[in-house]
This record gives sequence, structure tokens and C-alpha cells, in this order.
Amino acid sequence: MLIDRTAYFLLLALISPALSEEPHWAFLPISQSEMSVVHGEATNPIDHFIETKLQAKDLTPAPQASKRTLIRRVYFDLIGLPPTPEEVAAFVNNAVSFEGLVDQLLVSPHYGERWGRHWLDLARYGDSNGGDENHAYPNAYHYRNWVIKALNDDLPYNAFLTHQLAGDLLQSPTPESITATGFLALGTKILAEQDPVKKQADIVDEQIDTFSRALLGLTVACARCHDHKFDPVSQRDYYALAGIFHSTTIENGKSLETERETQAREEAKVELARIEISITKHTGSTLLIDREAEHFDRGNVVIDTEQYGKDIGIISDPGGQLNFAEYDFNANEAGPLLLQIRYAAAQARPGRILLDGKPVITPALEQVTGGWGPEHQAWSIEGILTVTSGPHTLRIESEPMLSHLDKLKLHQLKNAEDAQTLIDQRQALKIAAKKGPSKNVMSVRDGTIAHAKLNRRGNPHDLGDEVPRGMVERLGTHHPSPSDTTSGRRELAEWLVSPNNPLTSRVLVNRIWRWHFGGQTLAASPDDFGTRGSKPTHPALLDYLAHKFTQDGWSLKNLHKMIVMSRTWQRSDHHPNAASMNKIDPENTLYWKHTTHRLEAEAFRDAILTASGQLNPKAPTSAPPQVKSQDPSPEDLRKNREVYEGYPHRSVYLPIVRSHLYDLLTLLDFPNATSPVGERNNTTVPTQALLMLNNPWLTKQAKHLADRVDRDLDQVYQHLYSRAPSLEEIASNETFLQTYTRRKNEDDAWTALCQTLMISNEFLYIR
Amino acid sequence: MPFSRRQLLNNICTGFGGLAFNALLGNTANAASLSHAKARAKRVIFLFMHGGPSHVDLFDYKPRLIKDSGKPLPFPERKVQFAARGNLMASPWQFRQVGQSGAWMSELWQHLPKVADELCFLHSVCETNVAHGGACMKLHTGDEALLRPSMGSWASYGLGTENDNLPGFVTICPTSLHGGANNFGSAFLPAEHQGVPLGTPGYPNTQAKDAQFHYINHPDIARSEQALQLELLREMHERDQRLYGFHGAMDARLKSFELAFRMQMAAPEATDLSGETEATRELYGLNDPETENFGRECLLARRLAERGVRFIQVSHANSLKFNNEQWDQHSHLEKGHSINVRQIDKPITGLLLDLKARGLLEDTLVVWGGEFGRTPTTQQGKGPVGRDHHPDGFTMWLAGGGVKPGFRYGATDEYGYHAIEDRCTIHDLHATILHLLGLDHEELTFEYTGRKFSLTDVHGDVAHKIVS
Repeated sequence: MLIDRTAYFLLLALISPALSEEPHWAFLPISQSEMSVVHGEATNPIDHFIETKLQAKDLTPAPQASKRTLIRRVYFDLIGLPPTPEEVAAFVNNAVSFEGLVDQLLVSPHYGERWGRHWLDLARYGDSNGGDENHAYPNAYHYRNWVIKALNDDLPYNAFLTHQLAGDLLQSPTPESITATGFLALGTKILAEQDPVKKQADIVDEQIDTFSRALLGLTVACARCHDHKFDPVSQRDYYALAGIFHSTTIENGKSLETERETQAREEAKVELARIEISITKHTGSTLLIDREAEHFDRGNVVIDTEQYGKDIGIISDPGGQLNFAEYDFNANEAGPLLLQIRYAAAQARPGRILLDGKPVITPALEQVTGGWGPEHQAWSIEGILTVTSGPHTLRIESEPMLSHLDKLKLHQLKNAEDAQTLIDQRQALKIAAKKGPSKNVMSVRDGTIAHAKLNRRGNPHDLGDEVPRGMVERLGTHHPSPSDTTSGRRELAEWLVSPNNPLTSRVLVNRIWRWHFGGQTLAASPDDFGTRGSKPTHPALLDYLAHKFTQDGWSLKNLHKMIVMSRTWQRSDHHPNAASMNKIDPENTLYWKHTTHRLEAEAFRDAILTASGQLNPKAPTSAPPQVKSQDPSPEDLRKNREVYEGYPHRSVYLPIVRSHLYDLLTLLDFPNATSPVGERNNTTVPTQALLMLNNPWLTKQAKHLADRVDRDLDQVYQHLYSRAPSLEEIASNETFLQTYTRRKNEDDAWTALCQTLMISNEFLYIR
Repeated sequence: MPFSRRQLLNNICTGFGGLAFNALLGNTANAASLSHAKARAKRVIFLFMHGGPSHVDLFDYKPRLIKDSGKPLPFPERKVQFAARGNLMASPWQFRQVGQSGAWMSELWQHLPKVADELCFLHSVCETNVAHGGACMKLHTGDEALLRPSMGSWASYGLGTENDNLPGFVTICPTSLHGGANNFGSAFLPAEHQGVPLGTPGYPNTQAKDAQFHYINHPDIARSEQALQLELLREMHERDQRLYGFHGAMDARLKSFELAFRMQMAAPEATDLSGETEATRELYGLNDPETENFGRECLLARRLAERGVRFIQVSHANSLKFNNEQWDQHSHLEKGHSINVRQIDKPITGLLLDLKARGLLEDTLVVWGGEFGRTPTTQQGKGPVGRDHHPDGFTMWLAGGGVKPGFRYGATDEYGYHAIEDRCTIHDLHATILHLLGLDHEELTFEYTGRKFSLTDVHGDVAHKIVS
């Protein structure tokens, strides 16, 4: 049911004087009138709209790009990876058609990794909180994996959105649909905010901001304090939405465990307790160490007898450092010993145990006891050490923090082999008892259902009228009312994906277009379809695509195929009459050629690793590797870097630690992951060049490439540029190699050459 | 010429002088239209005291607090507190008036009295968050919850840089706590305005002697060999242009390599202290282990200021063995604040004297302060007494760069609790800093997602009384 333009105009004029001059295009219903002209499907509709405009100006567009250019372009576009030299050869030799290639790429699992990452920009995906306290979000990655899978499955976009907003409220929610609600849960929060009312209001504000900018292309969050100055969003609308999110609760680790899994876990716990008792039965009567932890022989830890160790004394860390405490003991005979430590830990602060300077138990001190105080102290079996007779030193290390250690016991073991078997069994049980095979996810559920009250000037302590939960009143025509017993997220999703919502599909097809056309859009401000955004260059095409998209079952893959199969997308990026065309349309708004664009940070890293042969193209089966997010020391950050640099999987699987992102990514404009980004920056700064020149990781990849192809220049070019070097290039590269070899050696010369080719414009830019 | 003007304006920066470049092309937010008044300062050195220095123990002398020490605060404490509070507590230190201006300083300060007449005290800073994270982000970016550009980024964006071979905004040994990189990030402003850390951010923060710009050289490839790589890149670029025509962004990228190459020479020179005289080393306290680290940071700040860096932050942000963050004396007030003042007193005094002697103080605005003050009441708890976070009225000071020397602005009540006279919110502070730089905080905006953003949002009044 579409309302006609006049009625809409009158409606807007009545409600919003600021908008009375002319109805804003993006809030009008999606137009169908101009679609009749493209009935004959012989022409790709995209070409029809684009070429009509070019013909009107009597302009001839650029010819089709070369096959080499096209295959490179379509690989990076659809899967974010370069074609192999063999794949290039097959396509150039007509062994496979372009359409065949496209179909292959769209069913590749790499498609979801590429396009899922685009979505993660909008979902401001991160594996830590960012903000004031950078706590890890250890369960966030299930949402990331869900996004990748949903795209690979071509989950219709309306369902894709509905699951993310209300996957827990579907008629029959599934673990997947609950995981999808992580979208609302993984925002940055100000965790140390001492005012709980403000804290909650800020969380809701973040949700409204992400929801509205990412999905509607509208900035609703300004209406927290006042009616929107330019767009038809009132302060009441904001609090109608706020009521929905206030009635929603975030769960950082919702268990998706089945009953059977829970039962198995409980059984493991019982078995674990039994085994621990059996282990201690193997100890002999000789105690080599039986000491209060604070009676160490050497150490840099602090002794606390006032707070956590009141009256009994414990040791702890004085702040971030490598903490250690050493205990000397004497063994009368050689043999195995059982180490037990009593301590309290609210969070795991793992460390290690060294015997005479050599690590013997790693990791150690992993237990979580429920708190830091004396009442939470518990004995823990740390493991078995084997000693020779004579004096020894036991050393406990932990960095940067240390659990609160109270006592140590080192017992002689009677039957070490049996004890070791039990300890090994215990290790497996510990894992089984800790976590079921299924996962904990970040998600949301309905909380206390209530309407919100208007916050005067955005102050959550200065309350005005109650506003019934609802949607933006002046957008769309279908406004289902939330019932008294649900938050209203389900209804919000219904409103959002209703064909009468003028923004949802327009905003999405414009985003998809932009990601295909190297940053060029049909409507120039992808994150702002409000009145302050730019007018579309091709409004009829935008509406055609938006309408077709919803008619086609909201299939992203169909949309991708229509775009990349168009002549418009396949044009060369250089035009025989570039000089005169540039005078007429310097910004290429008419699409008379393809726009050259730079690889995104992830595609750059993935392409480097592909060329060096170091990429593991399979999706990882485990959680992202551990990196430190909260209060990292420079040393922690160095270790984080080692993790990033050693990680063999695609970039989309790297941990996204907000505030301490991997600089290889950020220097190439990876977003800050705290607010939705539909339009990445595209900066060129000297710090980026410094990274390219001086990053040893890149040099290492260059060496891998040189070794891999056995210093065959032709192969280097095939791997990096999908082409052979020209004669001129061969001559120039050989001169480089000779000069460099004279100064250093041939090995270094090849590495330096490969690195230079890797950081060149040809590698970084897609034509 | 295959790039759009909009892309060019927003994204391409051939050096760190991004704004000047934009201004030449007539960008909407160009330096000329923003300079509403004569700039009094060309650059800022922000001495950040992480953790919250206690105003009532350092600069804000309150006889009534001494008189009523041990009694309960005669009015209710703020509703939102960080920890439970006890009774009023007099400062353990005597206060005395120093300099011609008669500024009050506690006896903790042994060196700073020498430059007392250069300082302009803001005794009424207020309205920030009660927790470190929120307050640090507010002080650095104007917002306590959302990700916003740092004030240094705004300064760099507003004025560009005076030195193309160095970043416009450098933060020396920053902490990774309480917002971490967000506190020197450029958020949505173009990346060249981001604060570049000199020393990896961390907790504890990097020691000044180890502070380096990241990727400033290659561990294995010498500069002479890199020159060959650069030459090859240039050759490839020329061939590319011959075949496919000029491409603005690619051309800018090649230039950025050339600039980076020059930076590799400029940056180490800027941070190398070996050429400083013995007198200067002594002035900054480099010969005393207690003041050496912060002294180095201050001396690095002066060297960067001399070389045209627009905004330099120096962080006093280590941890103390018995406390958490440097100035966060919830307990051990006496011990902690004694150590802290000893670490910075001489270096800061040295910095001000040195800037003055070199004629730099005139157009360098020095800002001293933490994310909040500390309560005039004690914090309830065990162990040696301390004070809690206090965001309702505390002291910062400014020097140089067009502020009235030897001046006191604003006041707290007789207990040092609420700011009651000439209240100076964080937004007011920001508006004033920008004003001194010749920037109008209402005009210095950046359009992002359909909205104009500024450092002060819809708030902020310039504290005109402090402008000389």
C-alpha cells in the first residue's frame, strides 16, 4: 500500500515546517513509475539507466576492461582475494566464461568472508568494549561467524535484519537467530559510569545510533536532546524507540547449551572433584614446602595483610609487572613432587611455575575461585615436578597481575605415574567441566517491559512525559504496536523491513552499489539519507534496484550478479578521450568509466599472504587468538602484534581489539569499530608509507614470495599483478637487483625487490 | 584526473600539512575563515596528570577546611560517587603564597614557585565524570561516552602543522588506560590529525628513554638501500602514468613515500637529546633518577614545540606500587602526592623557564591538569588515608600563549567542594584553548553523517577574563 506523493507532501508539510518547501526524496515511497521502461530484459537494467543518461549528454563510455583487469577486479570484489595465476590463465584463454566465474565466486565460502566484513563495518563489530575500560568480549565472534554464514547462505536481507533485531523473539528462535542479536549487544559501553541511570541511557543511545545509521541511513540520536533539526525525527520518536531498547537486556554470555550438554558438564564437575581427591591420596608424608606465600625467599610481590589478606597475609602484584616469588627447598631424595597452591582469584591471572629457572608448569594459577578475598581462597593442584636430590628453587611467575596467593604445599609423591595419569585426566575434565561443547553468545532478550519517559534536554534525571514504545512516526506507513508483554523489537523489525519503509532497501542497495563501485554511490552519503545528505545522481536507478531487490526476495547474491554482469561495472578505468571526458564529468558521476580504487586493509593483508603463500584460506574453527585488550603494557602490545602477524587466517578472523587495533589495518583506514561505518576513509599519509617501507612483517612476506617462486621474475609478477612483466620492467628490475646485490647480497636484493613490488600502486589499486 | 574533489578534500593529504592544503582548494572549514581573532598561541603543550591530582593539597588553599577538619561536610555529598566518603580532612601540607602574584601553593612545590608569576590558575574547573574513563575521555575529547576527536586533533585540523616532516599532534608516552588511544584519536577527522604516539601506549606507560615513533626505520634495511626502493617505486609510477594517465590518489601516495623518507631523518633528530647542554639537562632534572623520566618527556615536548608540532601532550601516567594510577590516591595521599610532585616539580619548572628563555612561552600555551580533583573529604577505607575522585570543582593551570600571567580565575566554595565563581566546565576549557589558538569553537566544525560536529558540541563559553 503506497500513499501517493501529494498526500505524503501534505503530511510532511503539516508536521514539519522545516520540510514544507519540498518533500525530501528519501522519505517518499519508492517510485515504481519509471520502471516500465525496462521491460525488455535483453539489456541489463543498470546499463539502461546509466546509458540513457550518457546518451542524453552524447557521451561514449569507456570500452570493456581487459580480461586480466576484469578477473582481478571481480575476484577482489566478490571474495576479497586475488585469482591464482592458473585461474587467470583459464579465463584469459576462454576456458571459463565471465558469468561462470561470477557464479563460482558467489558460491565460494570466501564470499561471506568478504561481504560479511562489509557488514561488520556497519555493525561496528569488535572483540572488546573499547571506551573507558577495554574488557574483552570473548563471545562476540559468534556474531561475526553468524554474519559470514548468513551471507554465504544468502539469507534474505529482511530476515537478516529481523534476526539481528529480534532473533530471540521469532516464533521459533534458533541458536543462530539468538546469536544474530549480538548486533545490539556488542556496542561500546562506559563500564565505569557510576550513575546507573545515565549508563543505561547511554547504552540505549548507542543502540539507537547504530540501528538508525546502519539500517536506515538516518541519524536519529540527535533527537535524544531535541527534535531533529533537519529530518522528520522528533524527540518523542527517539523516546518511543528508547522504550523498546530500555525493555531489552544485554547478555554478554548467553549459553546456547542443550540440556544434554549441561548434564555432561555437571557430570564432569563431579568426576573432577573425585579425581582431585584421588590425586592427593598419592602424596607421601614428606612435605618439602609448607609455607605461607608471603614467606618467600626472594620476590618483587607485595605482602597484603590489610585488605585481601586481612589477618592472614597474602601476596599480590604491586601493579603491572612481571611478578615473581621464589621459595628455596631441599630434596633428600630424587623423585616426583606434587605442587598445590591456595589462592583467591575473581578472574584468571595465569602465570607459570619454574624449577631452578626452567619452566615446568605452564600455564599455572589458572583457577577462578569467585573473588579476591580470603573467603574465596581454595587449594589448587598445580601439577607435578620432578627433582634431583639437593637444594632447589621453586619460582612462581605471573604477568602483569598475580592472583592472591596464601599458601604453598610441595608433597612427595608415592606413585608418580598414577598421579600423572590422574592429572592428565583432570586436565581434560577441567575443560569439560568449564564449558560445554556449545557456545556462549553475546545477545539480547526482553527485560522489564516499560515505556520510556522523555528526557528533557537529554538529561536522564529530568523526566518529561511517558512516550509509548513505537517507531519513527513520520517514516513508513506500517507501524505495528508492541504488545504490553514484549519489548517491541519484533514490531520494530517488521516496520523496518516493510516494503513501505522508504529507507531500508534504498539505503542497502546504495551501500551494495558503493562496495562494488570502489566508493562511488548512487546517493552520495551512504550513512545519511536525511535532508542534509546529497541527492542521488541516478534516482530512478536507485529506486528500480530498491524495488527489484525487495521483489526478488531480498537476495543479495542476485543483486551482486546483476551489478557485476552489467556493462557499466565491466568498463575499463581509462577512456580513450579521458581528457575531454574529465572536463565534462571529472567525478565520473555518469559512470563513463570504472573508478580505480584502493584495496581495503583486509584485502591488502590477505593478498600479501596469498602471494607469499602464507595464507591458510580455511575458516578457523576456534575462537580468535588471545590478545590483551584491558590495560595493555607496551610489552603486551608487542605480544599482540606477534599474534596478529603470526595469524595465518584471513583478516576478517583477526581479533578486533577496540582502541588497540592492529596498525596494519588501521593505517589503511580500517574503521575504529565503535560506530557504524558505511564509507571508510581513504587516506594517504606518510605514517602509512613508513609502515610499508619499514614493517619487518612485510619484508618477511616478500622473502617468502621470492623463495616460493625461486626468484623467477615472471612468477613474481603473476602472483602479485596477475600478469607478466614487460621487457622494460624486466630490464629495470634487473638493474635494481644488480645494484642492490653489489651493496648487500642477492638474497636481500630479491627480498627488497619483492617488497617494493608489494607496496607499489599497482598492487594496492584495483583498476 | 580520476578522483573527486570531495575525496581529495576529505582524504588525500600529501603531508601532515593537511589543512593548509585543503584551505588552498577552498574547503569549507579553512583556516582563514576560522581565525576569528588574533591567535595568541601557535601551539599547545598539555601536561596531563593521570589519576586526578588533589587541588586542595596542591593549589586550592582553604582555611575553613583546616578549621573543620574531622567534621562532616555540612551539606550532602554528590549523589553519584565513586566510593563512600568520610569527613573533611585538612591538607597534610602547609600552604604559602609565592611570587609577586601571591599564588597559593602547598609546601610540596619546591621549584614551581620560581615561575608562579607565569601561571594562570583555573580554580573552578568542573562538570566532568566521576570515573577515570569518562573523565579522561571528556577532558581529551569533550565527550565522556562517545568516540570523538581529541582536542589535539581539532587543533591540528584547525591550524594544520608548521612542519611537514613531523605530525601535527604528538602524544609522548601516553597511557593505554581509560579510553587509551581514543584519547588521542582523530575519530572521524581525517587520519593525519590523529595524535601520533611517541612511545607505545601502555600501562605502565613507556619510559621516555625508550620512546620512539613506530616504524621510523627498518631494522634490517639501511636508508641507502631504501633509496633504491624509492627510486624503483617512482619509476613504476611514471610508467603507470604513461600508460593509464595521471591519477591523483596514486600520485599523492608516491609523494607520501618521499615524505616518509624525509620524516625518517627529521623524527630521530627531533627526539635525540644528546645535543642538549649539561645546563639544560640539569634544568629539566635529567641528572636525578626521580625526575629523569618526566624531565625527558618535558624536554622532548620543548624540542617538538620548537620544530612546529601543533599540539604536544606529555603524560605523567605511571603506576605507583601502592596505588593504581599515578595521581589516584584513594589511600596513601601523603606518600603518593609527595612522590608525584617530586617527579614533576623540577621538570615542569625547567620547561617553563626554558620556553621563556627561548622566547617560546609567548606563543606556546602550556596546560597542566588531570581528569578531576580529589574530595576535600577522606575516602572511607583502610590503610593510610586518601581522597576520592572529585569532578565538581578542581584546579588546572595555564601558562604562556596569551593568558594572564600570575592570575587566578574562578573559585570553589570554602571547603574546595563546588566550583562557585566563574565556573569553568571542560567545554569552557576547550573553547578557551581553541580561542587562544585563534579558533572559534563554534566555527571549527566537521561535517559527519549529516551533522556538524565540534569539540564543544553545543556547549562552551570562552573564559575571556583570563586572556591577556
